[in-house]
Amino acid sequence: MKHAISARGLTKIFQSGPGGAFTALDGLTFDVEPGQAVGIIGRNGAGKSTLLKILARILAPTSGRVELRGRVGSLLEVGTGFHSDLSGRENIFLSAALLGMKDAEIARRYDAIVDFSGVGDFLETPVKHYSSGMYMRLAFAVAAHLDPEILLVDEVLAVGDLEFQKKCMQRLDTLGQNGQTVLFVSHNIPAVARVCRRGLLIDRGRLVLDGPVPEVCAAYLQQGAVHPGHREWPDGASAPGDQVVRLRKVRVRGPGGETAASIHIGQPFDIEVDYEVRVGGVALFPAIRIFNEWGTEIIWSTDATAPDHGKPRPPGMYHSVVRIPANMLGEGTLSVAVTVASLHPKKVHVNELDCIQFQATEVFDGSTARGQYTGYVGSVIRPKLEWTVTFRPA
Amino acid sequence: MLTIIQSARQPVPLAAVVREYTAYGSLLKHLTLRDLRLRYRHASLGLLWVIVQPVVSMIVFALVFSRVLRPATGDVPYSLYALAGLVPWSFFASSLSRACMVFVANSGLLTKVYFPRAILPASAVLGSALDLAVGCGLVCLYAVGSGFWPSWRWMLLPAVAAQAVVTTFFIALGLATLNAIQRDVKHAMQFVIQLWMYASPVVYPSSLVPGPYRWLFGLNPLTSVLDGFRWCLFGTPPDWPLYAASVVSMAALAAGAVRLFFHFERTLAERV
Repeated sequence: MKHAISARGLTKIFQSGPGGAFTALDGLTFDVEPGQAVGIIGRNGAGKSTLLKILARILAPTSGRVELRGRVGSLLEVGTGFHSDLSGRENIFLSAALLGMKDAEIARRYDAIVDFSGVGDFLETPVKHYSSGMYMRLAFAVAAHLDPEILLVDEVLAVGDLEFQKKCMQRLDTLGQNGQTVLFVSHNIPAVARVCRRGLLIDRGRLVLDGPVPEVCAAYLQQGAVHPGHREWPDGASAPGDQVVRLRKVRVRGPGGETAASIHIGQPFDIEVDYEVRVGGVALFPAIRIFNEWGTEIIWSTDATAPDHGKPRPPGMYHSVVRIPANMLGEGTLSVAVTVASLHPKKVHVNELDCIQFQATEVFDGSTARGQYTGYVGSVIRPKLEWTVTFRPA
Repeated sequence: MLTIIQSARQPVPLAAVVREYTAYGSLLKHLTLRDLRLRYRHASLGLLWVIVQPVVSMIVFALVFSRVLRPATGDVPYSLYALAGLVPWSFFASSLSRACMVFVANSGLLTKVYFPRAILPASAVLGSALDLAVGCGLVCLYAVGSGFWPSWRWMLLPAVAAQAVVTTFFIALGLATLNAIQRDVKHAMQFVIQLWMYASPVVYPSSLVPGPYRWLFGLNPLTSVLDGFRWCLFGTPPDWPLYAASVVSMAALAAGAVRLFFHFERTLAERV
C-alpha cells in the first residue's frame, strides 16, 4: 500500500540575518500509513511546528521531499481568516474557502457547521460582538468539517473552555476512527496518547524515536528538564524541608520494582517517599498529592495505615511505600507533590510540588474500566466499578 | 490526489499550478466579497465614494489644464476627455496602492494557511473592479449628456475594462511581491504612481507630446488601456503602432511580474 505521507530528508534552515542560520529540521525521514494517527512529540523549538508548516505548505523546505496522498487539511490555528466586522455566516464561507473548500462543499456542510458551533441565532451578527467562547466554537466548527484525508493538528486543544476542549477531543477521536490520517502536535501528552498509537519524538530537528506512544512519551519525559519517575536529594542540608524534616527521595516503582516514568493504569504500582527526621519528638504526617496536567489534585494520601501513624517520630531515615491500586487513575501526565506537616506545632515542614512526573497510560486490553470501549473517556479517576445488569427481552 | 512538496528552488509543473488555482476559485470570490463588504458596509454613501475621486480630479484638471495647456482633444469637451482617462486611472492607482500591501497586510493568513498566493492581489484588484464599472457608467452618462450617442464601439468597453483589470493585476502582483521582499516599495509607490499619471495620457492626449518623444508611450502598458477607452467612447482613433507597442510592453511586464512572483511565492510566509 502507498504511504499517505512520505517524507525524505526533510531539512529546513532559516536564514536569520547575514551569516546567521538556524537549522529547524535536519534530514527528517518517515512514512505514515493511510488511516494512521501519529503524534509528534518534542520540546519547544524541536522543530515540530516547522514540520507541520512544511506539510501544510506554508513553508517550503530547504531540501528534501514530501509526498502527500490525499486532500490535506490543517488545524494549525483555528479562526484563521476570521474578520471581526464580518458576520458569522460570511466568516464561515470565507474561512471554509481559505481551508480549501469549494462553494458547493461549504453549502453542503453549512447546516452541520452551524449546528456544531451552536451560534445559530447570531449568524447575521458581526463576530466582534461574539463572546470568545462563541468565536472559538464557530472557528473550530468550520475547521472540524473540512473532512480531509490527511489532517494536521497543532495545539488546537490549548484554547477555549474545558467543555469546548472536550468537544474538540471527541471530534478528534472520530476523525481518527473514520480512516483519516492524522498528524498531531501537542504538548498535551494525554491528548496525543489518546488520539495516536504511534509517536515520533523530535529533538533539534532530528527524529530521535519512532514507536508506540507510551514509549515515546516516556522518552520525551526522560529528555526534558523534568524529573520522570525518580528524584533524589543527596545533600541533606539543601534538601526540601526545614530543621525538623527533610525530603530525600521520591520514586515511582513499577510492578517489577524498577523506576518507572510510565505506568499502566490497569496495574498497581508504588510511590516511594524517603525522608529524614532530624529533630525527634514531633508527630509528623507525611503525605503524597497527585496532580493531573490541569493542576487538579486527584489524590491526597497520608500514612494512615502505618503502625506509628500520628505518633511522635524518633530521628532517622524513613522509607514509605504507597501502593496505588490498579484502576484508580485516569490517563495523563501526573505530577507528585510531597508534604510533611505536623499539628503540634501546626506547621508544614515540607511542601515540595512537582517532585516527579510520570505518564499514566492505558493499554487497550479490556482489563481496565473502559472494557472494550475505545472512545474518549474524560474522567480523572478510572475506578472499575461493579455493574449488575438485568435484561428483559422485548 | 498527490501533492509533492519540494524545496522552493525546484520548479513546479505548470499543470499543478493551474490545478491549484482552479481549486481555489471559491476563495477568490470570498476574499473579493470581504474586500467589498469591509470597504462599503459602514460608509453611508457607499459606492458614491467611488465616483467622488475621479469627478473631483476631473473638475480640478478641467479648471487648470483646459485654461493653461489647452490640449487638443478634438470635438470632445476637455472635461469629458479627462474623466474618460481619470476613471480607469483612479481604478489603476487605488488598486495598486492597496494591492501592493496585500501580502504584508495579510501576513496572518500567509503564515497560517496554504492557498495559492496570487489570489490575494487578484482579490484586491477584483474588489476595485466594481469601482471601475461604476466609473464607466458615470463616463457613459456624461458622454450621453454631452451629446455622444452610443455607437457599436461602446460594446467593446467591457473588453477594454477587462484589459485594465488584467494589466493592473499583473503590475499589482509584481509590486506586492517586491513589497514583501523590500518594504521600501510601499513608500516609493506614492510618488511613482503620481509620476506615472503624468507620464500617461490620462489628462492630456498623447498627441500633445512632441513626435520624437512620443514612442515613450509605447513602453507604458497604460497607453493602450487609456486610448482604448477613448476610442470606444468617442471614436478617437489611437496611434495604432503606439497601441501595439504598449500591449507588447504590458505582456513583457506581466511575464516579468509572474516570474518574480513564482520565484518568491513559496518563501513569502517567511518574508512578511
